[in-house]
Order: sequence, then structure tokens, then C-alpha cells
Amino acid sequence: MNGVEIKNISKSFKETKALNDVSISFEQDKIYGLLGRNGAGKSTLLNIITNRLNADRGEVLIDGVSAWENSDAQRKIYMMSEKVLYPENMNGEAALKWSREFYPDFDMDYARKLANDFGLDLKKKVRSLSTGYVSIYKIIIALSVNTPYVFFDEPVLGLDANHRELFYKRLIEKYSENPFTVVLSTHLIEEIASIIEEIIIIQNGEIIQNDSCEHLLSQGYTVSGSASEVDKFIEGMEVIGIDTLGGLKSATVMGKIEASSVPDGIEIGKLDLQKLFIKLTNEQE
Amino acid sequence: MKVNAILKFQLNEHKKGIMIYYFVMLCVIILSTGSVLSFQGVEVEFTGLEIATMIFLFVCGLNGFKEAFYLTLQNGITRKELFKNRLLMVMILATFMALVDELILNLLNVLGSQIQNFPISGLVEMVYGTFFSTASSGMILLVDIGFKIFLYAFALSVGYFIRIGYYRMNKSQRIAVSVGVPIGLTYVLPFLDTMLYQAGVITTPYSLIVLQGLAWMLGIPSQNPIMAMVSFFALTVIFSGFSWLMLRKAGIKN
Repeated sequence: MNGVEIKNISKSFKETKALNDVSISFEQDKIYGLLGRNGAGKSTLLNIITNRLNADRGEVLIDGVSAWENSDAQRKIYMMSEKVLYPENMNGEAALKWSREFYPDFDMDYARKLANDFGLDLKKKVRSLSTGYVSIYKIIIALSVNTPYVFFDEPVLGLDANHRELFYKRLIEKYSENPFTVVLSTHLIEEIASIIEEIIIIQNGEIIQNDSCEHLLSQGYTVSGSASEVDKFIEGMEVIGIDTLGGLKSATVMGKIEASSVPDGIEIGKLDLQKLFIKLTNEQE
Repeated sequence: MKVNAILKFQLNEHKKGIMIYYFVMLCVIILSTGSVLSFQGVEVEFTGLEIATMIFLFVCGLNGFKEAFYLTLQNGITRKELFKNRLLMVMILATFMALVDELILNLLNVLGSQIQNFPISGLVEMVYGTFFSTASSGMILLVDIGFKIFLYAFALSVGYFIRIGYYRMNKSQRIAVSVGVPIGLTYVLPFLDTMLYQAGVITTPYSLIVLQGLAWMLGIPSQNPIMAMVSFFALTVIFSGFSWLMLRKAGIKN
């Protein structure tokens, strides 16, 4: 099968079970959101897929071939990790040069263009860059390697709003021109909600949700209006979150709704993904 | 043929260090020659180049793990591929340094023959004097270069082995080894050795047996430098083997 298959992966660090019998797959040319709270096991899972950690049990297949210690399989994957794995005294220009050595399809011109767009000085060494620019440095390489599978672990760490916006824009452009599998592991759920097609939620080392974004978002809705009207309307419903601002109220509700049953003064909107995430992860606590 | 990227990176990692090392050596040579020429009666003996290079390469071995390992993981290269190229890099670097050192010693020998009070000696010549006085010049050259290659490969392998060992250990293990090994080797073992010998438990001190064993391994009593080459090669294989055992399942650390 083409794609990345994770079969019954388990991993422990001393007494801590980081992953427990995890089985999922990442299909070709789709954009995934890998969501989970701190310490849920997201980075451990990505590190195992990319040969950086050895699983205690289970296997990872890339296009049907075992990924562990397999250079041919690993060269189809690039992972932008939270941790910087480039030498600290390496500058941006050298990092691009070495990336081209390792990845034959690395697009040097595109990488330079991205560096210009983000305002990254390629002459600067990694150790002299701020957290945001270290993320940019890694984003540029990840977007230029042209591998079929690209994993982003906390890609927007330290990035300001403008740079985050630019990153999502360039990612979508790149994907539209030449689709590839993108896995975004992040805490900024709302920001990626409009980009991702599939959502995988991991909690305490186990997959608790693996569904299409569309299907997940169809499981509930947001009700807003004056506080008294909203309170009246949501009575008896499964409410997973409430926001109040002055006399206005917004409630996130699970379930389906008939458009005809919505009274005047109440507005129905899309389900808030972040609220759903909080509900799902709290349920598993 | 495109040189494997990880081999190229590992060689590149040491390029600057090697240039600085030989620049320092050049300064030492110029200073020594200048002293001999400037001050009458001053004798400067130029020895121990191989030992200096050995120490330098040991330090290179100590520094040559983490960055290459992390870059390997970042770029989809397997540990096996990294290690294979590491061995290749060790041989390339050891051979290069051996040839440069041999060239330096030969040039200095020519210079020494023109200047009074400037004797030059290589390590093999100093330790294996009998071999030097009996073997043919071709054999001497071959052994001289071979000895250096195996000595330098050994130094690189030991440094690399120690570095991976430290990488795999946790903090308390690192402290235990850093404190325990020097104390054990310099205080505990000599103390026990002396105690047991003086109490008549052992008839020959262990330290003497170890020294005799080392001398035998290096072929010093039989004045056989080839024995030393074989020993250095065997030790390189052993240390590399242990390094591989530690590397093959090494993972990223947070």
C-alpha cells in the first residue's frame, strides 16, 4: 500500500508508556492534523516514523516497506522537528547546501525565495537565531525538500501572526501545485482547522479520534445570541463549551440540528474544533 | 562519482581542525628552526609528532559523533549507513594524516641534515631502533606509514567510542564513569596492586603484568612494529564493534 502505515506501535520510557499499541495510516496526498495535549505522544510517534527512535513493539511501513533503518524508505520522508538537528554553528546557506546533498529533489531556488519572503538572513548561524527564526529556517527546508511525505512537529513555534499566515499560505500553494502528504502536529488547532482534511487525536499514547475534519465538524455546532435566548435554546443539549461576552453568549453544542427549529435571534455556526478537542481529550482523562 | 553526503559531511567536520593543527605544527617547526639558527649552541630535538597527531585525532573522535548523528537522523540516513561511512572516514583521515606526518618528518630530516643541533626522530624510529637499523629503506617507509595509519585509526575509534558511550548514558551513569574511572585507575587499582603484592597474595604486581602485556602487544621486546600495527588494527575493530553496538539503537534525546 502507498502511504505511511503505523502498525501496533508501543513505546515506553522507563515507567512512562508514551505510545500504546498505536495503529494509524497516513494516505498519499492528504493533509493531516495530529493533535494532542502536551506529552500525549505526538513527537514520539513522529520520531518513530522517521527512524529517530526505535519502537518497543510494532512496525512502520512507508509505501509498503519497513521504515526502520531503511534509507530508501526514509528518503521519502522529511520531518521538521521541534528540536534543531542541524549543527548550531551551521548557517542557513550551508543548511540549504547540505539539504541538497541529502535530498536530490531539493529546490534551492525556491528555498532562497522562501528565505527572502520570511526575511531570514541565510548568513546567520542557527545558534544566533531567535526561536521564531529557527522555526522559519526549518520550515524553509521542509517546504523545499520535495519528498512525498512531510511531517511538521510544532512548525509555528515562536512565529508571529504574519509569519504564521505566510507559512500556511506557502504550504497550501505548494500543496496545490504538487500534492504531497502533510502531517501537522500543533497546539494551534484553530489555525489549522481550515487546512486539514483528516484529524488524528492522540491522548495518553492512544489514538482517540481518527476521522475526516468534515465529519468531525458535522457532529456539532455553535449557537450564539443573547445570553437568555441561548440559555433557553440549549437547555437539555450536550454543551461542550460556553463563551460569554457582555450580554452575548456563544455555546458549542454536540448533535444535529434542524434549521426550522432555530428561533429568531439565535445564530447557528460551525463547530469550534478547539472546543471539540478539549471535550474529547478531557473525556479521556 | 558523487561522494556520499554523510561521508562528505564527516570529513568536512574535521577540515578546519586539521588546518589549524598543521598551522600550529608549522609555527612550531619555524620556531624550532629559527631558534637553532639564531642561537649558537642551542639544540632543539623534534620528536613526538605522531603522539601529537594521535591526541589530536582522539579529540576529533570525541567531537565527531553528535552533530553527524543528528544530521543523519534529520536527513533520512540510517545508522548503518552513518557507521559504514564513519569507518571509511576514519581510514581516509588516518591515511591522510599519516601521509602528511610522514612528509613533514622526511622534509624535516632533509632540513636537519643541513642544520646542526636539529635532530629529528619519528616514533617508530625511537621505539623500534633495531628494526630501523636492520630493515631496508623501502620496508621502513612502508612500516612507518602503516604504523601511523593504524595508530591514528585507533585514536579516532577510541574517541568515538567514548563519545557514543557518554551519549547513551544517563546523567548519573556519566558522573559515575567520569569520576569512577580516573579514581579507579590512578588510586584504587595501584593501591590494591601494592597491597596485594606486599601482603604476598600475588607474586608479581598486576601493573607490571599489564605493562609487559602492553609492551608485547606493541612488539617492543621483539622490536617488531608490525605486531603493533596488528594490535592497533585489532583494537580499532574491537572499539568500532562496541561503538556499533551502542549506535545501532541510539535515539534522539530531548
